[in-house]
Amino acid sequence: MRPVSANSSSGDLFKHAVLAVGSIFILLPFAVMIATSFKSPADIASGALRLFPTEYHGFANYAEALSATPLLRYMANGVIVTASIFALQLLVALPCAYALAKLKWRGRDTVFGLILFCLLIPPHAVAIPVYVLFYWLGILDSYTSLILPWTISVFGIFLMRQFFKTVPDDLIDAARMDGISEFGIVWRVMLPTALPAVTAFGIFSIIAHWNDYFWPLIVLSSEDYYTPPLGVATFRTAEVGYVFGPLMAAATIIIAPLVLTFLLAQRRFIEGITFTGMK
Amino acid sequence: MAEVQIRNVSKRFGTTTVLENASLTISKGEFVSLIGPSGCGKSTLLRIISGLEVQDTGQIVIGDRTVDDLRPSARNLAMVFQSYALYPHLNVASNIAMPLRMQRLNGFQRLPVIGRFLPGSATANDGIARQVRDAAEMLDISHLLERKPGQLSGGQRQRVAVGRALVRDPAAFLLDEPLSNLDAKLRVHMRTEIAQLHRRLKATFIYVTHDQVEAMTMSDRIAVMMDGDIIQVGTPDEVYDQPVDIRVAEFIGSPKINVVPVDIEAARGMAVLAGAASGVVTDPSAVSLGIRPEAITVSSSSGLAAGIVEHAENLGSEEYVQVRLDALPEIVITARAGHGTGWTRRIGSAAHVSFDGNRALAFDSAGRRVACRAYAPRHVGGKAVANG
Ligand SMILES: Nc1ncnc2c1ncn2[C@@H]1O[C@H](COP(=O)(O)OP(=O)(O)OP(=O)(O)O)[C@@H](O)[C@H]1O
Ligand SMILES: [Mg+2]
Repeated sequence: MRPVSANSSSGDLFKHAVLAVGSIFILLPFAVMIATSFKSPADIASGALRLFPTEYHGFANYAEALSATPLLRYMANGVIVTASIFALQLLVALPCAYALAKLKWRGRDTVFGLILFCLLIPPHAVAIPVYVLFYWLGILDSYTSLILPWTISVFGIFLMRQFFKTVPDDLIDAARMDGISEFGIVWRVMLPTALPAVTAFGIFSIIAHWNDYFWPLIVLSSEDYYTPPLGVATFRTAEVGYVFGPLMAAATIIIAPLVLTFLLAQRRFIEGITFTGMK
Repeated sequence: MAEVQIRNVSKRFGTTTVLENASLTISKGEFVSLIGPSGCGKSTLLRIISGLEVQDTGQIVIGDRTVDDLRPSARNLAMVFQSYALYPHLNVASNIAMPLRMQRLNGFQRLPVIGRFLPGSATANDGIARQVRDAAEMLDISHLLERKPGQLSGGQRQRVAVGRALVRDPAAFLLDEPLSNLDAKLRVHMRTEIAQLHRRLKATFIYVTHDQVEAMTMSDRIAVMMDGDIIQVGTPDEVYDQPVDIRVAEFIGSPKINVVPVDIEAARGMAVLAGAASGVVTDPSAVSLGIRPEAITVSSSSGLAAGIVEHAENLGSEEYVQVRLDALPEIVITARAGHGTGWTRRIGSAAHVSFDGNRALAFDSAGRRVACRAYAPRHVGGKAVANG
């Protein structure tokens, strides 16, 4: 709780000042990105620090972004991949979290310890072995290769387990008395109760996989499966060198869905984070 | 409804024994309270009956079927939890309907939207809706059917939880301290409602509580549990008047029974209380007498033992007077005095207490009840005692 003191308003002022400086620092690149996406090549090349374009070139940049590469195709790939990853992550994480939080079995704490340990393994460390494995399986350069490595989210299991711990045991017992099976409890009782946490996890997962550049770059060779970050990168390799206007327009287009999703889910997201005591 | 038998049930968690050979038979349509101090194993026993917990040894029999191998839902019991345990994301109607939907609809029929159009589900859903409405009407919550549990008061949630138990027409109702989260006034009200519900349904009720007033007022029989043992089963009167153990005597009754140490005079077997002959003859093994506050008379002039009025409480209908005995300064006797006796104005003054020898209870050193009776009523100073 916040202590009520005489100088709390000046304290608030200070806090807000710090936050304002921080948010300017974080938002400035985005502002520059959006501003650049409306500027003409000459304007960009002039190097002057200007927020608003001297000559409006937005339409041309966005048209270029959408026509020079199949950006919409890349975004559809992004939707397919991130949505599949999230759905499969839930399919795995919810039953696991339920078993870890609410069922009693020998070795449960050990297993949970191992799961926490897995949180420490960076995905880049196992990238090469997974790549080799997928090569042997012959599934490189496919949606499967983009989705499969991420279906088990240790973070998701951990987050949902922490949330499920707060669900009262009586509720689960009542469901058992009513005749709901254990899997039924996961989907029909725990999932609806845990929606804020699911939303929070969803945002983490979707942002991470929508923006992922590393893994698609490794497993993909054909442009058919390119996800938005790879697609944006193709601008840079165009023979004319850096075309910043269309590049920034493309970047703006691909982060727009993320920003919209976050704004829509914002309240539940914050609820989810505070609920699980992660804040 | 059905008879429920608990046969020699034992349960341990790790090294702690929670239930030790507990046996109890609850007849068809009976209202039995399980009562005892916190941690004595009441909830554990109830959960074993329901199948949510598995006993180590012993059997549970419902009707004439041993149910030990049945899942909780297959035992056809309904449970009302202390925390109500309503589904927070479902409205009241869906909460009440849940056990019926699970019983009567198959997995496909329960699917949202399309489930409603599958063969058979329309009739089943109509039947369920009708039963939900009937239950809601009976519990006076018809106007709340569309609300979520979060939008209800504690008492209303309680009714919804009872409604969910009610609709499935169970073999027995199991209630685990269902009233303990309600405020005092509502608790008294719901007590009456649950008792009336039991009379109307004529169903078997097993009611866990640690509130002896609830147990006394609602039950046909009370089972008193202590440390994982059912130590006495009887009607409220039996448990109150004829406790088999000092722990039962002390647990049942409010204010608590007075317990005073006594010596036994060898010649007549007379119990000697604070140096005075008490007028009660007991078994030689007795070490203490238990006397209920209403069996004690307090007087300012004469009595068996003298003391000082330490405190008095006026409840309007009666007064409770606490007297510290001169001869046994560690003992404070609580006596019930009549309406308007004015003891609250006499705190600190001298008083004398005496008691009705016919209502005394004697206990041995292990706390077991032993025989005792009034010896010679005329010896009891200052107190006219009815001849037993
Ligand atoms: N799952 C469990 N694991 C370990 N010990 C348990 C478990 N459940 C109950 N116990 C222990 O068993 C004993 C009896 O618990 P129980 O819940 O049956 O008590 P109770 O009589 O219902 O008490 P209260 O009136 O406080 O609800 C307690 O000492 C408790 O700590
Ligand atoms: Mg309990």
